[in-house]
Amino acid sequence: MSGALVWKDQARIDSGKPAAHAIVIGVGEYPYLVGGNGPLTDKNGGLQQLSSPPESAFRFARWLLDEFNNPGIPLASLSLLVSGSQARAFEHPRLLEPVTPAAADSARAVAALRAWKALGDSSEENLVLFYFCGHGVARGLEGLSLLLRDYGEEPDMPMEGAIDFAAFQRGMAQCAASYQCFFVDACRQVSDIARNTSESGRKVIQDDINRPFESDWNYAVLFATVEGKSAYGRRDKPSFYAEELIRGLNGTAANNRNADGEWRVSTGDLNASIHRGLSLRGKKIKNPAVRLVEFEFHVLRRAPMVPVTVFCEPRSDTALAELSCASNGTVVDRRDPAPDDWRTELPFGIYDFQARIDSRTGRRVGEMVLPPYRELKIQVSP
Amino acid sequence: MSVSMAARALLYHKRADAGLVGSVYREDADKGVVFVDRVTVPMVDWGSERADHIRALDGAASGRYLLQLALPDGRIVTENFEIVADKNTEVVVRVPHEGPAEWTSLHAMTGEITAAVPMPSPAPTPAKGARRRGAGGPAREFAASAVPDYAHLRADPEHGFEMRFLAPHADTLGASPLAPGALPMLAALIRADLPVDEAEEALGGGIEIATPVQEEADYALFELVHAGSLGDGAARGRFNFGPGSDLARVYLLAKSAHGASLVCLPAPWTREGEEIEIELLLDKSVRDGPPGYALTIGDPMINTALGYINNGALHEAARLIGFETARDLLFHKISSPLAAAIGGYLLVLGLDRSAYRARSADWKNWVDNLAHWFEWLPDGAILRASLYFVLGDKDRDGAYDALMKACNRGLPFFTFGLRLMLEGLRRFANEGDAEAAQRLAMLEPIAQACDPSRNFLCVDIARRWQGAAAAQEVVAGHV
Repeated sequence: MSGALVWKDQARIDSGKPAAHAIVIGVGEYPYLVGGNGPLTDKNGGLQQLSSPPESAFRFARWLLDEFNNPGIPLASLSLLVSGSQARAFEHPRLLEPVTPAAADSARAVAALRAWKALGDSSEENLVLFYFCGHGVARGLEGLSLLLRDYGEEPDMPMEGAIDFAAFQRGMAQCAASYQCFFVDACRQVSDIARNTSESGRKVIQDDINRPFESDWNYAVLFATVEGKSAYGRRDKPSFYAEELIRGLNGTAANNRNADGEWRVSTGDLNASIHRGLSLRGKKIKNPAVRLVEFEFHVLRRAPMVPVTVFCEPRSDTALAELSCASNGTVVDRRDPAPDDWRTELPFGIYDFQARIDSRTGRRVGEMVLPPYRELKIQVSP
Repeated sequence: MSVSMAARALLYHKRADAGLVGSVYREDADKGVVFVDRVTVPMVDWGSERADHIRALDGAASGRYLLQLALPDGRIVTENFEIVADKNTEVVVRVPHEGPAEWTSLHAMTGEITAAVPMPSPAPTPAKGARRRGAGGPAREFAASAVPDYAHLRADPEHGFEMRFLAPHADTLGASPLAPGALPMLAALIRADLPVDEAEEALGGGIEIATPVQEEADYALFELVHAGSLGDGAARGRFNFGPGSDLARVYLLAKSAHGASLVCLPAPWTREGEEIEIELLLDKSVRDGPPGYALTIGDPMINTALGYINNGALHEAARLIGFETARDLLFHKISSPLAAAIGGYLLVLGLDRSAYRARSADWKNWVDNLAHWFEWLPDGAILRASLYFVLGDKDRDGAYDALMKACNRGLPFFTFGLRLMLEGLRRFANEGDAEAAQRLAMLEPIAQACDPSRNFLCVDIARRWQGAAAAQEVVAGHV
C-alpha cells in the first residue's frame, strides 16, 4: 500500500472484472488562510479553517467500506487524503491496521487522482467515485477551484495549491470507467480570489472532452447546495452534505421501481434527496445548469431507512400527546409529549401510528412508510 | 373502473395539464409495498373540480395505494387512496400555499419564498377574468415593516434597486452590444469594467420600470411582457410564431449596490400565441448582497419545471416536459418556442441517451425545426449542436454550423444554453478549429460574469459605481 491508497481488493483488480474505485479528500487545515499557522496569503478571500471536512471524509470512507454495494461492480480500492488540525489514523475492520491518511496537499492529491484514474482505466464498465470536502471558490459559469491544504503557500501563485475541478472533471472523459460520480462538498460562492485571476488551480488530467472509448460517458456531479456557513454544519461533525449524502445512499434516495423489488440508488434520485435534505439546513444555492446522467450505482444491503415526521392536528396537541409507532402490533418506537414534531427514522414498511392524550387517542393505521420520507398528521379524538 | 387525479393549488384561473409528477405504490400482502407506476397529474386551482384520468392505473388491482407527488420546491406530498373493483376513484392532493401573499403563489410553490401562513380553506374561484389584486383570500396580515417601497429603492439604485427595460430599437441596434452578432462587443463591455452609468449608457439606457403590480412589506411583484412592464401600462401581445417569424429581443437591466446585471428576458413567453407574463418577485429586504429577485413564468407547468430544475430534480422536470409535450409546444399550429426550448434542454441536460436513441429521428427533426424557424432564438441552434457533442449524433458538420449560428444570434436565453455553447466550442477548439477557439476566448468574460444560480441568463455588466471600488466578494466563514 503506498501513497493515498488505504484499502484495495487486489484479487478483484487483477481479475480485470468491473470494479469501483473511490477517492476521498477532506481538507480542514489551511495554514495560509485565516486562522492558519502559516503566513496569511493576501488572496485569502476571508476563508477560514474548517473542522468538518476531516470528519466528513472519514465518515464517507467508512460508509464506502461498510455499505457500498454494487454486485456487478464491487468496491476494489479506496484512496484517502485528509488534512485536519490534528493528524488522525483511519481505522476500519477491513484494514489490516490503522493508517494515517496522506496529507491533502496539491502534490499528493494530484498524484492520487492520477493513480485513481489509472485504476478506473482498467475497464470501461468500471465505476469511479470522487468525494471532496473543503473550500471551493467559483468563477462564473464554469470555473470551480477546490482548495487544498497548501493553497496560498506560494505567495506569487496561491492557486498552485488548488485543483481546477471543472477542467479535471472534463478531463475524466479520458478515463475508461464509463460510470463516474463526483460528490463535491464545497462552498461554490463566487469569490474574488477566483474571479480576479485567470488561474484556476492545478490541472490533473489534460482537458479534452473527446472521449476515446466506445462506451458512453455517464457522469454525475452532485454539488453541495447550501451556501456559506450552512454548508458545513457543526464543529467537528460531518458536514450536512456528507450527512445527507449518506442518508440518501442509505435510503432516502432509494427506489424499488425495478421488477426485482431491490432498493437501488440512482444519481438523479440522490441529487434530489440531497437538495431536499439540505434545503432544511440553510439558504440554498440553486444550480440549474448542472448536467447529470441518470444511472443506478448502489444497491441497499438492507431495508431503506425512511425519515418520518409525526405531529398532531391541531398542532398544539403535539406537545400533549404521547406518540407511538407499531409494526404488526408491536410498538417499535415512541416519544413522550414534546412541543416539536416527532422526527424519527423507520425501516421501510407498513406501520400503525398513535397519538394519545390522557384517555383520548388518534390513529393512523396501515400507513406505508417509504422513501424519500413520510409526514403523518394525527387528529386526536375529542 | 378508472382512477382520476388532480393537484389543487392557489392558481386562480391558471392550470397545467401536466402539473406535477409522482409515483404510485400499492400495499402488497407479501412484499409490503410495491411500486406501481409513475404518474403525471394536472394542477388546477383550489376551486376547480377537474381531475384527469390516469391511464397508468387502468386495470390496477383493488387495494390500498399511496400517491407520492413531487412539489416544485423539492418536498413530497402523499395521499392514501383505495381502488375498489367496479368503482371510480378520484384522488385530489392539495398543494399548500406558504407564501407571504396570495400573489406570490407561483414563487412560493418553487420555494423562492417561505413565509409560512396557515393553510386556508378552499376559496371560491373568482369570476373568469378577475385579477388577483387586493386583499382577501388567504393573504397574510403583514406586520409593519421598515423595508422601503420600490419607489424609494429605485430613487437611489446605488444603495437600493432599480430595473430598466431594454428594448434596442432597430435603427440603433447595429451599434448595440445587444445586437445579434454583437457578442464580442458585449464581452468587451464586460472586460472594460466600466462603472454602472457608463455600462448602462453603452446598452442604450432603456426605460425605467417604475410600478410593481403588487407590493407589500418585503416583496414587490412585477409582471413583464415583450412590450414592457404591465404595471407601467404595457399590454400583453399576441405572437403567431411559425417558421421564419422574426422578433426583436428585450432585456432587463438590474442595478443595485452590487453593480448592474443584464437579464435575458424570456419574452414573449407564449402559449398557443397568447402572451404569458414573466413574474419577477423582488425581495426588498435583501440590501447588502446581490439583488434578491426571482423570475418565473405565469404558467404552472413551466413554474413546476423550473422549480424541479432548481431543486436538483432534473429528471422529474424531464418527465414533466417529455417528448410529446415538447413536440406539441413546437409543432402546434402556433409555436411556443421558448417553452419548447426547455423541453429540448431537459433532454440534453438529463443526458438521457436512451430516450434520445429511442426516437432520435423524431427528436432531430424537432430540434432542427427549433433551430431553423426562429432566427432570434440562439437556444434552438445550441440544442441542434448539442445533439452531436452530448447525445452522440453523428452530424459533426451540422453541429458545427449550428453552433456558429448560435454565437451569431447572441446571448442564449437560458443559462444552460451558455454552458452548452461553451462546451460545444471547447469540443471543436480541441479539434484544432481556430474559429471555435477564438469564439471560446471571446465568451470567457461573459461566462465569468454569468450568475450560475439563475435559469434565465443573467450577466454582470458592471461591478462598481462611479468613484467607488468594486464590491469585494468575500466568502462567508465556515465551521
